[in-house]
Amino acid sequence: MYLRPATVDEALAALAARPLAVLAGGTDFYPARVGRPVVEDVLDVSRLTELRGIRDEGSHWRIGALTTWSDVARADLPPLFRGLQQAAREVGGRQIQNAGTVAGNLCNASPAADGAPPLMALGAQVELARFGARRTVPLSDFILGNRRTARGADELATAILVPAWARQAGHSARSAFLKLGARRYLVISIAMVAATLEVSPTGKITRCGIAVGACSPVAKRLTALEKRLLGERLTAGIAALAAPAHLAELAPIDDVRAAAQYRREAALELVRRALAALAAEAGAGRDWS
Amino acid sequence: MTEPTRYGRAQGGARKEDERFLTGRGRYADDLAVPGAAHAAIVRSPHARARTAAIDVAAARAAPGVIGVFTGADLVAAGVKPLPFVPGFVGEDGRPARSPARYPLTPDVARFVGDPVAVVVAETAEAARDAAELVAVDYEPLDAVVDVRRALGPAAVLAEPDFGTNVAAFHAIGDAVRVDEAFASAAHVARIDLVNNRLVPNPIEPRVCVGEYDTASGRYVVRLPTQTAQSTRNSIAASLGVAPERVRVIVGDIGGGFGMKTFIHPEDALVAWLAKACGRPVKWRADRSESFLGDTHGRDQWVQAELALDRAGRFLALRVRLAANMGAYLAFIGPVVPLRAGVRVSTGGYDIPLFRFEGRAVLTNTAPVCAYRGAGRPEAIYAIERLVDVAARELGIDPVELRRRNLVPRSAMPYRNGVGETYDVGDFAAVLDRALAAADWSGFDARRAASRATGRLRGRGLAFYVEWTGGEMTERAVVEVHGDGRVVLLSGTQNMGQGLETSYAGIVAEALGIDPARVEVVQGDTDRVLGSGSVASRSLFVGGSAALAGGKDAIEKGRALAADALEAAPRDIEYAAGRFCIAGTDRAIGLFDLAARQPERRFLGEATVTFTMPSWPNGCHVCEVEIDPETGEVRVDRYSAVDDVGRRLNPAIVAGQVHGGIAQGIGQALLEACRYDADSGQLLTGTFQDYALPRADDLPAFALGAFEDEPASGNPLGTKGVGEVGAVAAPPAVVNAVVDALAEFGVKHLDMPVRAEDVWRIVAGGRAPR
Repeated sequence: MYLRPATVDEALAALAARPLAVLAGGTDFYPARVGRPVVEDVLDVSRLTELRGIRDEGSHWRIGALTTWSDVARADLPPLFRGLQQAAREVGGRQIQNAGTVAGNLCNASPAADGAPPLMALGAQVELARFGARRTVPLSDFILGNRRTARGADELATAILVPAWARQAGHSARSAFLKLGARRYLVISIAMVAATLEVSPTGKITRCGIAVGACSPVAKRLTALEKRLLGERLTAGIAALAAPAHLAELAPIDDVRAAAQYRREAALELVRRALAALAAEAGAGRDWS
Repeated sequence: MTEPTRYGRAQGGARKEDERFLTGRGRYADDLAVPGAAHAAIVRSPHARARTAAIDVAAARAAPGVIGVFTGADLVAAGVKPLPFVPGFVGEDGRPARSPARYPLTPDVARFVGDPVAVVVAETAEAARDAAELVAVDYEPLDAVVDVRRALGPAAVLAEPDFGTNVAAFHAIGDAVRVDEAFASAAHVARIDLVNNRLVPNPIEPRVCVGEYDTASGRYVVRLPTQTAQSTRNSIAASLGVAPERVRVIVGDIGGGFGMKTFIHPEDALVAWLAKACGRPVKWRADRSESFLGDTHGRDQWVQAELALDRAGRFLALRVRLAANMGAYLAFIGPVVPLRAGVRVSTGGYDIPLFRFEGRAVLTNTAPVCAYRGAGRPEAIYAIERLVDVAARELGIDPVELRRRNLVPRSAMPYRNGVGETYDVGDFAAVLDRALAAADWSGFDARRAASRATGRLRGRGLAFYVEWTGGEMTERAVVEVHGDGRVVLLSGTQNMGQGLETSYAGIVAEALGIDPARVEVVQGDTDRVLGSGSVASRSLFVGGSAALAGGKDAIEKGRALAADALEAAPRDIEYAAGRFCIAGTDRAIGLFDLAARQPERRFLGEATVTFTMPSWPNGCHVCEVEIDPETGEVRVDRYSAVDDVGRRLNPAIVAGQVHGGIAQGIGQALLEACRYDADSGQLLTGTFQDYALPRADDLPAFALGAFEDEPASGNPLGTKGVGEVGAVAAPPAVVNAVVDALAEFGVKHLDMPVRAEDVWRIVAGGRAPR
């Protein structure tokens, strides 16, 4: 069975009736089925255009579940989203960016998903709808493990919600994303780091999110480091505050792409660089908002 | 014997074939609509070595759309013979080299992951693939050996236990005693022990073949992209057990070959046999995963090399021991690559009087290894150029200076190298100087200081290479002059994207004094033209010289016909710019009018050329890398080269060939690694996600220069092979630069591909933990 409903309600009704494999951009769906027929019943959500696009809804930003990586890269967004936009430009190649959706990247739950670190560092939540009900789940609770999420079989991810940052007068927020792989793109990452920092008018860090991907089954927030950074002034010295102990929770693997020890060290270096880059931009008086 | 000429030079950058390719009108084998064609899907072994005792094909045979299911046993019972490989090699025991018999489908033991064990033919490719999954093979897994060093070790698992050894072929060159004496008396000995990494060729067009059988004539037609139509035809015929004339091979456009699409692959013979067995044309097309598993791979050599030097830094002797991983079966010319082709340039551009070589071609349970752009020469040049850098560093001599002291001087040409090969011409010192100038070698210190200031390490490396090109030194050309205004050149070489149509059309047009647009080039049809195909960078200088001779012969043939037509003596007939004319008169006849008067409205010129002197392109490539010490990432920042490929007929084509080769060489140096699990023999890098091909943003702009002062002496065009030089020179240039950048950490060598992690380990090991 192949369903392609025109409305979200129709889609949710179909999901309530039977288990369906959800298909959006297909950039993970098809590679997982190379050389064998599609035997699952499919819910193709590509007609649900109401789920496409990015909107400022005051207390949060809504990234509709059909928003593609290219949409993100091209959108006119504040510097808060710079890291997510950097990630969008390095996901796969251009064709992948045009077809693949950010929400699909999260639902596929690969340890090396490019979307997870920047969205985690933004404190994003995933909006899940089932017929007649809706709930939101913090992204860190949504991805449970390699290819496992908190989405129920009858649920559809309808949006990613990013809380508004820098709501107090004079505060500003910005983010950065760095990725290490054999090449810059079209390869599976060795390590990824995303950092979001909010600073007060006096230059103190008032809120932050730091996340590392590809170094554990699920991308991880470095909460100890985040605590350490709070209240610090955002200067060039900030990078040195990141220490190996802050990455203790990571569990990188040894594989053909890289050894665990290298992943761990590289992740620390990327964290420091992301912080240094944000500090440099602050120092240069770039446009923060 | 060089003639001053501008063949093709006037045509500028656009190639004759480009419009066809760029507008999607290339004619590739997969595009052929063959009426009534059925589709084959191959069942491949998931084990590195396993007995395939029982194969149950009942379910597959009963599947929808299935026409037939066949196993190796079916082929053997029908009289199919193993694929041939070149004779002439011996094992360590002096007996002829042995390979496990390679049938199009293996009948008894699968010997590598991807070895074909059965085939399903069905109405559609999808039906064939579905049914292939229903073929139940009862595999009995056996121990496997993957790594060439392990394969030579004590108590090694034997890839083919019946042989009692993993060494399939052994070849030695040089006087071991005299070389040993030179080493014993040397002031210094530099040594290197390295692995030349296994690569997957990966042309953009995967292998495809379509087999047809005509019951009435008893002839087979196989359409496929092959660089060597005649050899492939002969091998298909040998496997089918029929005379070569009963097989016709037809080649359309080829989307890149790189040496992988040479000679015979199992599927080529299989589709021919299936076409007869099924009474239908049968088509097989590899998908990318099959290409990774089932194409022949390249390189994969373990090389130990030693260089003896005297007190003045002069090279006295070179000793090379190599073990080449041949995979599970000897490919058609598998052992030729390490044991005969590469070794010719083991001493590179240097005057090294004494040379000793011992090479072993080793069987393992991996995909067969055969030619890949350069085929042996990249491995040889990589070894000598790394070794010279090691010697320079150990002796504290500048690497340029050490090379200068030892390069073969122009005055020594023709020069017989330590291997026994004769270089005809070359001015290596001048090429070196020009390359250093082009690279702004002297400006390096300032660039290194600038890198330092941003926390980066910078290194520079150079590589001087000499390459052997030619292989088969005979080629034939037929030039047909048609009454409708066309000239058709038939050549037994093969265009595969390297611009031969343009180059050949230019040569023939200039010989005849006509517009190149009138010249059509026909290749790759064994019923129309035979020849040795395009390998070993031979096409332009051997095939192009034949085309030139064929054009001249057409004039001579035309002269006799024109004499007849104009009622004059042939010696009084002059030819220029498309017209035969009686000397001193205005009585003339046009080339094409003359052809139109002939009974078949055409006349032919033909020529066969045979050369004795290979061409010896040489050059110097210079690379600068910048390294991020914290992550170990290596960026190629500058790359320049001066290549002596003799006279360039078409500079744009030459530049394109050098560009592509350098890109592949940088890929080998920094990105590409084909890895099998050492114990299970599973291919770990079976997709582009794990096998990193270089992309444009991995490469800098290349600064290329040409040296044309020493045209080749052995062919009338004065040209030398250019197709492979970039892939020969780039790996040592890049690795020498990386090692230079890391010199302060005391690193002597890093194996390819040099990954960020490898560099990072060097840097991290050389400083205090944080």
